[in-house]
Amino acid sequence: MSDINQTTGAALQKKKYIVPIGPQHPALKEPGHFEFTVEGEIVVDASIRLGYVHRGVEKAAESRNWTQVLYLVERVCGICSHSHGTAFIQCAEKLAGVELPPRAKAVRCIAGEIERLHSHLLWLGVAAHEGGFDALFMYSWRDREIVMDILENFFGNRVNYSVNIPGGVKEDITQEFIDGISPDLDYLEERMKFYLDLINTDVTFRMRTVNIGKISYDESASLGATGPTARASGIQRDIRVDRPYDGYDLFPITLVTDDRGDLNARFIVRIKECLKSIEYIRHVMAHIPEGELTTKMPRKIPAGEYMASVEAPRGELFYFVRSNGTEMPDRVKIRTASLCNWGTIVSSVAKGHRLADMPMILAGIDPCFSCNDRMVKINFGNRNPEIWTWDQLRKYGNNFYK
Amino acid sequence: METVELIEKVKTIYKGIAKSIETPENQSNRVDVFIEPDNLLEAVSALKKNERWYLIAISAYDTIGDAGEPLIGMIYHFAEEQVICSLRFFLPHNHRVVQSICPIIPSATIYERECMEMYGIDIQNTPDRSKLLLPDDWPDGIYPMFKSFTGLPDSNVVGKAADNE
Repeated sequence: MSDINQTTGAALQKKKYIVPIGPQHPALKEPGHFEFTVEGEIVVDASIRLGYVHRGVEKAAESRNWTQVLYLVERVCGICSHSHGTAFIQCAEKLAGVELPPRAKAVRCIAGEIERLHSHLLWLGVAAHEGGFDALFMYSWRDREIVMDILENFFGNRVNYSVNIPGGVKEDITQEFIDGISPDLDYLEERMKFYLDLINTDVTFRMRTVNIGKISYDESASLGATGPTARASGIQRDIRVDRPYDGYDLFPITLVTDDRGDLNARFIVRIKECLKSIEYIRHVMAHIPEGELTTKMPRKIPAGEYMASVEAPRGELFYFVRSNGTEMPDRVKIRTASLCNWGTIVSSVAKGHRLADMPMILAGIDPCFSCNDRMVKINFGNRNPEIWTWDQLRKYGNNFYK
Repeated sequence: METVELIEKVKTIYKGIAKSIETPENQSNRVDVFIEPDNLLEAVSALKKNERWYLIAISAYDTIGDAGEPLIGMIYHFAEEQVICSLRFFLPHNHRVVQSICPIIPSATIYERECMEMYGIDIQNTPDRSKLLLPDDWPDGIYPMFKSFTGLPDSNVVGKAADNE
């Protein structure tokens, strides 16, 4: 009898369950599907399915002229539209042999850092919400509105502000801009210090983030993780420092890293990056070079290839552009900033962790569905897979810790 | 490490493996290493063994060879600090077969799935051959990133048949 019990027990232990989540994804308001294979509470495998909002941008880029493609790629993602435009137009400018005026380079950097501020604040709110910290979510999104107002007041739009044009920028950093933005930066700096203090000291928050979703330095390096996800594992990798583009050679920026590799480190790196961005914007505004905002760009770009990276808020955004010498690009390959980090989650981070921690672990990489377009399915072994909404998974996680 | 020093290291690594190594005039921090498709795994292993190079992406593009033959250009973009190293080769349209690099770099699966769907490249030994981006009912044998692709025939458009009824 005991043999039978042992056999049955062993068979039960071997059972794996698949929990599917999505493709409807209420928390992030974008469609994605993931499949988590779980043994008990522990996730042993994960897979992703993308494509629910795939729009064929790369194909569309081959039938539009260079200027049209600049506006098209800005629409790959509403959060990091400036980064997409910068990466693409940089390729065109380099192929055309055009050197930007220093003032235009500085303006691109300021716009890039303002974008980083709003993206990190948005992420802070989403990640906090996934852990059930809704007061933090509301605070951070309230503060993000200040950044959105800056974008709207000075660049004309909350998202897709199109600061770049071929050969320069269309917005200037005027005294009015400096006077308008300075009090906002002071306020945001104060708020960031408050968030940093909260993340370091709040007992409940630390319980949900410290030693959760750890990625070691070696794993992060070999899987090609980028951005704050990589830097939170101690990787010294930042395109603004490694391959400075636009004004980052005139105005260098320093790296923010943390070597603990857990979810808490990802919070700290992003908040410290916000503080660094505020400091950087102030510095560039105070030392902005005089001169033109644009230089002449040819309509036809000489044949050739260029590979450009930009440090988008979520990590390295990579563009490979081929020109055949006409008014339209021959090939535009986009590797978005969070795609490689999804690979990191699937290959490594999700495995071995509690299902209850998955919402915050996934949110920890700052996933972007517009960028990459994806879903989660949780497998319950030989039982039929259950499709959970993201909300169900989030509630499951929060109840687990109650 | 200086750019020139890193590029020299790449040249040393690929001595004997590469068909040719080029540094483009318009991009001094890039090195293009042209290899035979059969040497891909050896080339990736050699790079990963030497330094902390990370895979940025795998790109494919539809192009024409010197003799007018249709080709698929494949690029495996790697980076380390300021240098981008691209492993490159061409596949004929009628034999688009290459080995998976997932045994060496597991996270390459996403890029390989994209190449399989968009260009119909048969990536052997890749761990996941399921669709990543295109709809599940996308017709077999139609690859949207081919230059010849201009849209699905009406009969393949989902909902079209129902609309006509």
